[in-house]
Amino acid sequence: MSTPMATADTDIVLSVRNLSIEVPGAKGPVRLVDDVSFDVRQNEVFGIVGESGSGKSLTMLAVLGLLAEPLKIVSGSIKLRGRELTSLSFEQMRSIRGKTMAIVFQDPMTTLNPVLRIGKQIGEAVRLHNPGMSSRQVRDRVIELLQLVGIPNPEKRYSQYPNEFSGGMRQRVVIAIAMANEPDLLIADEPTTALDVTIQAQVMSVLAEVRERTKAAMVLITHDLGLVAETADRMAVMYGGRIMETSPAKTLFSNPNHPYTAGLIASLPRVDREVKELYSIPGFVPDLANRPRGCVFHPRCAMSNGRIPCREEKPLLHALRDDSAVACHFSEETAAWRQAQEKAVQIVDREQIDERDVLAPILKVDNLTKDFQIGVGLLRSSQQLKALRNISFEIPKGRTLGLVGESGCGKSTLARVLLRLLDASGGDVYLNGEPFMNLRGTRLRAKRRDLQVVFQDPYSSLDPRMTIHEVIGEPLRIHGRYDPQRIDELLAHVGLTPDAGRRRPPEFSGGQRQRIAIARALALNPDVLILDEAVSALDVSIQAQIINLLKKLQEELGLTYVFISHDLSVVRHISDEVAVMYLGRIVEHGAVREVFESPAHPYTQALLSSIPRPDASEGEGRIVLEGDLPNPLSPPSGCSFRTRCFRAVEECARAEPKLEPRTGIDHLSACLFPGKPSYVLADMVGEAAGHAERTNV
Amino acid sequence: MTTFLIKRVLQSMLTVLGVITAAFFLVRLAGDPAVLNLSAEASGEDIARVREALGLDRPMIIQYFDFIWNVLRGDFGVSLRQNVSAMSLVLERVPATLELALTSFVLGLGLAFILGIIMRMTGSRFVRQLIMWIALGRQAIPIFSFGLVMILIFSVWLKWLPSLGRGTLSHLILPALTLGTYELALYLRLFNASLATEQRQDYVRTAYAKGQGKIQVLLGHMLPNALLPLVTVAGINLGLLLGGTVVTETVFSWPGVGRLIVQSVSQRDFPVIIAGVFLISLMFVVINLIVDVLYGLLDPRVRMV
Repeated sequence: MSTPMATADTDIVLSVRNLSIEVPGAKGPVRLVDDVSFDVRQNEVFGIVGESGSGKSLTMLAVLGLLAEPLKIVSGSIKLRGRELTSLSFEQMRSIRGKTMAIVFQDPMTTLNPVLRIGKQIGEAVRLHNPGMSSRQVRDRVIELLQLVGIPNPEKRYSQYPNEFSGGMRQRVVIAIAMANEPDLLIADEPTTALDVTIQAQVMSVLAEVRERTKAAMVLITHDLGLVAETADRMAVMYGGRIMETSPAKTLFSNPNHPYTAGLIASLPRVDREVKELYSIPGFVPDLANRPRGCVFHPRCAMSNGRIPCREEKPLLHALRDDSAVACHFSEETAAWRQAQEKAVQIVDREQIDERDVLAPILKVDNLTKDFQIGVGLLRSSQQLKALRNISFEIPKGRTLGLVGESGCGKSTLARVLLRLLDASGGDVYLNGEPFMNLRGTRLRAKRRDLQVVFQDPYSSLDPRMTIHEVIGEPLRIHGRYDPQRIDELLAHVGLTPDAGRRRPPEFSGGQRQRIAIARALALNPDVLILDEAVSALDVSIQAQIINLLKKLQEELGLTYVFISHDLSVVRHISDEVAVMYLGRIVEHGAVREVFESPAHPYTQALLSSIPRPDASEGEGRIVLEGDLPNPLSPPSGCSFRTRCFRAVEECARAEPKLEPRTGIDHLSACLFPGKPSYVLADMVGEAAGHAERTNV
Repeated sequence: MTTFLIKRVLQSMLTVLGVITAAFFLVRLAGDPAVLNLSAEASGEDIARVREALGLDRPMIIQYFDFIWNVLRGDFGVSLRQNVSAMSLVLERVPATLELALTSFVLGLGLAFILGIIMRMTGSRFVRQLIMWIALGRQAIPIFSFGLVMILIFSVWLKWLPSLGRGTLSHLILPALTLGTYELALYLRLFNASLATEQRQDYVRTAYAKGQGKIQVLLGHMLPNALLPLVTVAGINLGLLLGGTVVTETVFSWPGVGRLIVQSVSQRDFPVIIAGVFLISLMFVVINLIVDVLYGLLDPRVRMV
């Protein structure tokens, strides 16, 4: 196969050629990575984007020589600085791993060994490749590394355990381990996916800094198109184990060459505009045991229309102009498809929507509080954790309230209190005008029908041993309304056929399971659905399908949603109103357009500015919040956000600002100095559609 | 940590109180000690006299509080058979029990540890299966028959080791081997499963990515984590060994607490039974306390809570 990248110069750090990886399956070997080739050059960031199962992580694990049994490289070559790696043994690779190349894994909560001190874990990486170093020298180097990645008090942190670090700090430790021997190649495998957006911005800037210092090349593996477009120099899009296209990262959004990439971009909700319906790539991620003949993407492709070449012939990656390459027989049609797609997009006319008759509030939350007693013991004085503080809002029937905030802000606690899975410490909730918090026993169970929930993880929220029919039928049985026809009807509502009822959860993909969870939630005809990160665990192409389904169901059934999410773009797309939470409080609340177009609270502004965007040059106009969430057991005096706020003054420490209308702001905010920094205004409002995707998928 | 300790100590005391309370009433359920300890020809008058002497004529609840009060003062009464303090009879036997229990405990755990590491390190399916089958085979044989077979082979046929009694190190080998290998399969299974779980953890991948070798990762990273569940089970087992070595002690005529209690039960020597049960339950809770503290030392996540 021809190599798409013409350069053959000496500054190539990593060169992968025709790499294929297989795993034995019931019906012969299954090919998970198929004929993948790319180069990574000195000093550049090479992005690999793809959904789950695309083979992006496997490819890089193969580079590290860490493919676990029974995965096997069946063909191809991997050269690091010209040295062939595929023929090296595990032992021979040891001198390269951690020295010439290193990796930062996804989840900093599990990547570090919980029972070993941080200093020891970083020190191992140093000592291993510098056997001559004395203990003193190793220790000094570790302290230096901790400083390099911006960990305060390195001397003290040295002897602490991972559980004493926050997620963002742990990821800095993982980066310190990777940088211990200043590798030529740094692989970052979804380095910020498990982190909050404001922490993501911190970690990405640490990565940029250490890279700057060591001039290492970096491979950034991610599912986040915005992040890769912002961070990478060049990138590859993978699907079904193959590279669909490679291109300069900056032109990814403006000029995708492959219909899959174009489809992905169209599936993303955007923070700068509101469309009626998202485009969604039909179908599911392919089962690689039954890899489609011809182009692996053709069954889901909007352009293929079943044309013979797509069905019969594997398209090879061929070079286009300006350092791009694409694996599609009809790539010249992509631009036209995109234009047609863009034309078909209906921008929502908010004014028209806002003029709808506002119905009576169906859910009214009044001064809700929730305190947890921490450390209740025989002899220990207990501490109070204020998880929810004076939460008040109303949702009219048929509308959606989006609740945004980072982990620890109390949004999931709120969901559990609303569902009466936790008892409130104070305040009231009215459902359909009736108080809900004081109900007990039978009356509570009867009223609960009106309020249902869909959770984040479709893998653990369905009992794997029940059939789908039983799963959906369970709420009906409990309330004595079992009716098999109703179950088929519910399946049809969420786009599944009745025969799905006979199967069990493990036979379904994540997106299908989430449909089943929605059908179960709808079984009792609820008025209000609480969607707790209901689309967060799904791939982009599937996420768009579920969001569209939720919008359709809302219209058909007059449902009211409480949509909890950390993803601002999705919240913008689905909500009528949005409330931003920080440390147990709502700090800003208003109509979705008002909050997104003229955010008043500095926290909201920081959240919006943390969303990776391809069009910003590095660091420009970005608010990077410093530090972590304060300890909720001893929150700062006055405004709880002031410790991280870029606008805080002395006055902020005195009293907590109330959530109220403020001069010059068209919605509620809890800040003494509300208003927008100039660049937010310029960025958010002034831009035409086209290449302004800012999304955190 | 101190509050945790105080809490656990109080809990442990409650447990021991519960155990001796249960023992007290269970013993009474067996019948009237006065009747049971007199010969069949004893007259009603004799019985009444003994009852009065032993305080058995008072209401049960008074007897109970009297009993608890005595226990608090460290007085467990006098053996009905030997006319010496019941507790001193039990304490006499403690060293023998400790010797056997600790030796077999260390033997079993150490064997499981070494075999578990070998199973992981060779990575050979055959070796793993072989070791597992041997361990399971051992557990399938009850202690008394295994003990008898050991005596038959090593004492009767080969005449290498003494078959019964306590004294030299050679006396200890057979009973310790019998008792120690009994739980081997359980330990091995647990240890192997927990090593297998740890092997899939992300931090293992991180360690390999640093450039560490397989043995370094196994011993330096996986082992400290994999030992955690083993510590819990081993602690419970040690408690069982200290109290429940009756069968082994009987087979090998080992003069331990377990055998003393069995003898006392057949002789209806109630003060000795209760003193023995008290001591065993005390050792049990102390060991569990140690396990909890050890767990905290091994796992910083537990320490924080």
